[in-house]
Amino acid sequence: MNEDIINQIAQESGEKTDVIEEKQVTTWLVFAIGQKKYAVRSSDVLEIIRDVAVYRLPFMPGYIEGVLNRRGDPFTVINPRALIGEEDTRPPEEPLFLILKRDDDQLSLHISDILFFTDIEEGDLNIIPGNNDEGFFLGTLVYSGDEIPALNTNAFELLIRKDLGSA
Amino acid sequence: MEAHNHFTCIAYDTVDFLIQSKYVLFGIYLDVKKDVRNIIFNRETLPHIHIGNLLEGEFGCKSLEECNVVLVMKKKDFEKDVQKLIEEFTDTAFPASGNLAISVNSSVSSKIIDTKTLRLIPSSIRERQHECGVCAIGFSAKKQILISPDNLLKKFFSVGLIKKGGI
Repeated sequence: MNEDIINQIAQESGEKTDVIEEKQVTTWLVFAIGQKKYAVRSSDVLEIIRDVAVYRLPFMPGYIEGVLNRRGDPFTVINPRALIGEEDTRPPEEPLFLILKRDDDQLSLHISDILFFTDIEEGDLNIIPGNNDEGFFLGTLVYSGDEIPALNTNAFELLIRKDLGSA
Repeated sequence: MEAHNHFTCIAYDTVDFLIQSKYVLFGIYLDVKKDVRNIIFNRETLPHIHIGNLLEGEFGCKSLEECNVVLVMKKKDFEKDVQKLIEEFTDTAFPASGNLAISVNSSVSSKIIDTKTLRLIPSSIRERQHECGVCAIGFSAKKQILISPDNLLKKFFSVGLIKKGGI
């Protein structure tokens, strides 16, 4: 009973989904590290935290500044400048951090400033050919004539696990 | 279960280092030189290692007051290879009691701390931090780091921070 109409509804839902997927829009958070602009998918960011101290931990790679306190939970602080090919590799002076949304880790990126959010169609991201999950850049997105590098947040956790031999 | 809430707390300016009290037999204010390799305690000669300046250097903290506190611990709580390293470094055999002395240059107290306030280190750096003797972290009024002295010493030995001819 009702199989025909259920199938029909399912089919219609599927068609609608297809249409949505074709025009999938992603919200990007554009921020600054030093004077340069970068972007991450807003869905990769859990929270933006300002004015918290970074506590140093011993025997860590140079790009790990330490941990910060997010409401009692420790989050590893990464200095992205040390990884993304900037000349000045010192951590940003501003105490501003992107708390990344991770399934099984607690990571944050030390940044300089939050600039704006923007919606961009997925197809408008200029993907770097041959890029893999370990690359720090997904590609670039163009906004008001600026070509903004889009960061791959997975790469930071992958690098740490690789460098520290953690599973 | 309750024993896990009793900690020996080594207080520095920005961090309290916590050691489970069950691993510390005595904590005594003793005026011993940092570079002394053994001390007399309870009519026994104990191997002695000063780690205060290493804690300051590696964790970026400073002593709160000029004092020297000796923590007497049992060798059985240290791995065999660490026991051997301690004997070699101090040129001192463990006495019949199996005790050894570790000293720090800051004040020590006994504290009861709710373990619920402590958190595991973020997963991607957890394993490395455990190897370095850092087991958990807490952010109460002050940062607290639960340390495992055997792993901490092992790391200090392995990277050459504790070596003959200079600590």
